[in-house]
Amino acid sequence: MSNERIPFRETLIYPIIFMIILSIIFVGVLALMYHATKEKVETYKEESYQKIVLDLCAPSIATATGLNEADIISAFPQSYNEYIKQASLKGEDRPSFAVSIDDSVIVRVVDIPGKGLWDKMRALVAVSPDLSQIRKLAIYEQMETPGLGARISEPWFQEQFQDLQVIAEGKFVTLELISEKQERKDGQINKVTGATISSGAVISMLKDSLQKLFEQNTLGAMP
Amino acid sequence: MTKKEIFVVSAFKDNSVWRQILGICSTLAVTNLMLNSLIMGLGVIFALALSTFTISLIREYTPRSVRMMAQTLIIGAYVIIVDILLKAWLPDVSKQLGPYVGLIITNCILMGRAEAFAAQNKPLDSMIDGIGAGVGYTLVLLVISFIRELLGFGTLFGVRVMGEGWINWSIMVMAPSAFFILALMIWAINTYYYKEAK
Repeated sequence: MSNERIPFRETLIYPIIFMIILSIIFVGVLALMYHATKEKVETYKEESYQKIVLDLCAPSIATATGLNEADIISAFPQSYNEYIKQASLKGEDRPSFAVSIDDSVIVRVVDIPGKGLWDKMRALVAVSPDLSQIRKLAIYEQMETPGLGARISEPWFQEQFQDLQVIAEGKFVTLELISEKQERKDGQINKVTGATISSGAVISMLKDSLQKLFEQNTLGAMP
Repeated sequence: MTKKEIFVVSAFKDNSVWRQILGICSTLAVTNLMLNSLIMGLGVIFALALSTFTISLIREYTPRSVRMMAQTLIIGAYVIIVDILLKAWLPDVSKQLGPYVGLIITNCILMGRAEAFAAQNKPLDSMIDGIGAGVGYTLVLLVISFIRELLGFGTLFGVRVMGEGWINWSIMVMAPSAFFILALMIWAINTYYYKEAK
């Protein structure tokens, strides 16, 4: 009776072999798919990043060259390669960009980190060559609450920072948050309703990073 | 049961959300915009159809002791495939959905259908059952998000439908509204749709 053969399907080893084979098949398929699409995904990521940078620089390029802003944007990637060069500033954690026309810098784009309500966020900011004025802002990475804090990505909110002098007499100016519906005066920013923390986080991000970059790069060089 | 009956039972009569109260977490989480709900629904239908089909296909060879492990592995693999495909070919949609796609793995409906139906039935029937459950789930999501987006944003699928004077109900954007809309919906369905059964 001890000689009775147990069918393979009922042995202890069968479930183990079954799971190993199943795992190899599925993980293999996933790995293949991941590999096949990796390049496409990376290219897309890089391109969308470059498009944001170009979009931020476009108004300044348009003013300096007399070209049409929309034409510059639609001429991606040629226009990107033509105007935008990687630059470096002291105290930055990701490379910045600069646009030079006739050997003088007309606009810089810095990539700055910040802390939102739930997670880190990042923004690309077009600034004047002396880093004292925001030309245009794009928050390109954030994990705020959808429908509330995430609305900091909406154009109307970010447009409030357009052409805003943020550093005066070496100090970051005070920006006051007011409610969304209120009429905005100088030095005031309409916050997103129900997202005071996220709105404030954007201002803190700009303040901390731009103040630091300004101090490390411009102050010493100023007469 | 005919194929049509399988679909009707799984999509409406034994609807996963309102009858079995499964998949509630995502029902509450993604229903503040109709577009998110629709894409989430399509993702779930796709993952359900393929995973129930595969699980049913190998049901004869799956040892009972590890069947749940195998089901989770299969479901996880298909969901990641959806994620990879979206990232590569529909990057904008993928960005919109963020972490939601990955969360399909933990949707109880998938495990529920795998255990309750696919593990005992033929592959094609299982697939129809899976699609039915997915359609039923999507339907609930769309109804809830219709109410939430309309009142919370004044829009439908991002298109403005409420007039200029419309004041958004912030509560509709936040989680509590999903709880009470879902509760009201289940109450209404229990009262009217399942009337004869009582």
